[in-house]
Amino acid sequence: MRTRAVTIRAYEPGDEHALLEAFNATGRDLNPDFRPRDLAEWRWRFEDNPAGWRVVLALGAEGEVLAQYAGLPQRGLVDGEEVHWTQAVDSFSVRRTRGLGRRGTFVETGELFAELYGADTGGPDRWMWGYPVPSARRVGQAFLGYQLLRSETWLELDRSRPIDDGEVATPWSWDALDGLAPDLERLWRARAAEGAIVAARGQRELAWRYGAHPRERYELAAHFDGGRLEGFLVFRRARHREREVGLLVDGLFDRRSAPPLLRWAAERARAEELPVLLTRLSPWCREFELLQELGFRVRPSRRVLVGRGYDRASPPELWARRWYGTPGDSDLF
Amino acid sequence: MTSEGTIEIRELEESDLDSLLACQRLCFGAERAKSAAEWAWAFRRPGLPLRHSVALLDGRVVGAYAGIPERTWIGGEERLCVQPVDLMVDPEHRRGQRERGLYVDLGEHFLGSYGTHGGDAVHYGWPIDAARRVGERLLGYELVREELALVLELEGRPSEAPAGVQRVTEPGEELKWLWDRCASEWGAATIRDGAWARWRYQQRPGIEYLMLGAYDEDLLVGMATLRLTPWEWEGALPLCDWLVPPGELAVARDLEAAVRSVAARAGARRVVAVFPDSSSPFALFQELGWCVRPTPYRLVARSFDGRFDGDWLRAYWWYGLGDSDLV
Repeated sequence: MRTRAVTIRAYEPGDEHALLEAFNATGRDLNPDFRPRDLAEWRWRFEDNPAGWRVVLALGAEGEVLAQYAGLPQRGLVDGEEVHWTQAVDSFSVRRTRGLGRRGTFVETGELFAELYGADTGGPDRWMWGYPVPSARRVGQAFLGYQLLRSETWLELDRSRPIDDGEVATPWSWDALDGLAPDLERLWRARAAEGAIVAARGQRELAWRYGAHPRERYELAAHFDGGRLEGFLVFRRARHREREVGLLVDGLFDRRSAPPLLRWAAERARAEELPVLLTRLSPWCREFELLQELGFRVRPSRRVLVGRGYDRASPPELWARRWYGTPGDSDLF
Repeated sequence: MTSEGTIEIRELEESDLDSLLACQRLCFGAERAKSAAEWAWAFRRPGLPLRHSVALLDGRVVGAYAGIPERTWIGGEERLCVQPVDLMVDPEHRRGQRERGLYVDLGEHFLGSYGTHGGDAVHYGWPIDAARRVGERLLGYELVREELALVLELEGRPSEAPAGVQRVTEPGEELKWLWDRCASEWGAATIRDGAWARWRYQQRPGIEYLMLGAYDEDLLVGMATLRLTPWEWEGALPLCDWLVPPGELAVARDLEAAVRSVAARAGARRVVAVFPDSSSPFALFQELGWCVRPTPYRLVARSFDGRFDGDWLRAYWWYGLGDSDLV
């Protein structure tokens, strides 16, 4: 804990009320279209995440929240070892403490975050990552060790470019996810064993991330071969650059399971009159090439992936190349 | 002029050249070191200033930070942008990546002399990882893009090149007219005119390029340049340059067909191009059957003009492989 006129420390139960008040006030201050966050959503994001929470707050003399540096951790496998990493989200500072381009309360909050959660100081995380807005990115680069890792791209499939006829994957209810639990565990671990850095996509993680999401509605399809799960895909309708699209939020698939899963997604897009299917993957993943073979085209994105390494042995630029990062790994989608 | 102990850092002088080339052979090995002719081609550009810092110990070159200057159209005016290449420090004077050392002192001299105080708009390059890490950590460079390559796999028998496409043997004023038409959709780009093309693709020692022009009667309406000498991607010919004005789809298709034909007849198994992912050829080439693949190349830049930060360059800067020293 650091104490001056402000106290900077990790979240403690009960902070969430003052935290949400400051978060919503700051959001409204910066963005007229801001949608306030309620307590139920906050609890879903931070308390219910199977991988835990990462929250550091700066508090004023009256207990008011002045700044937050927070993250959504993920558990995954790297070369057979179970490790954690975190997406930085929801960081803010209230207007009176703000001063871009200089060290301030926000930077100190970020520094304690790194100290508490970074592996180099005994914490659980090997690295953090995010898609910060440019102003936050510049502060992070100047004071918090952020590295720019890549400018992201999208993979886009025009619905007028048909996927050939054939088997269609099976829609699956989130309520019935328990029945897939052993298969889901097998699938993500198998992908990790091939060298990708994959966040856990077991029953618990998918049920939390998509099934229990308080605002968005996600749909799931599964492809089986002889009763054995061979791939899955998560779909939602989303707004992207002034148009509605079919977003492939998440999935694990291979050359055989991709076509039936994409036929299902294309049917969903057709039913909702969505002109394109859109998704994102690291260009270093084999699925990036596979989706192009199936008709997807690579399009630019304004998002810049940034990261900070907490372990000199695994610099974030190497992690980024092996990372199986789908839209659903981020809280933006 | 600055010094570190007895080491002096200053701009290169003509009398340093033999020692500089000897230092290159020590740092890069005889095969990769530049000859005097290659050095002159890269750095002694007619009409352009020298961009070259050296470190000397007792009159002997022990390090260098050099850059290829380019006339660049950026933000509505012509400025000088510089691509640092062949950065080196004699192994006896190197320190670890985490330490400040002669390399950083040289970099600061170069960036200070030519950027901060010299008027250059942007320094940029596609450095090896070790140099990039030092540049990002200690010299103010910023990642612009992890490059994606467009790759065309050549299969089947080579087709005939379209009749309207011919070899360009004497690039002249018409190339600048073509570039002007193309540049209407770019915020920044190296200025391509006849002198530039002759320097880049006809006068470079030891490397053979082929410039292909698409003509409408006698008017040059598109140009593509292939490197014919083998390079680091096995079996691949790099497409170094691509100049087709916006909306000229038929020209683009003819020129791309000619590239396929020439590359296949040259025995290549694939053709590789790099364009910004926001550019029109990046989309067009995918429609023509080229696939997008990752590359190890990372474009970094240090801007000396607040208008042209990393986000701006990412959005508005046009370039191809021919802008780099990779081909």
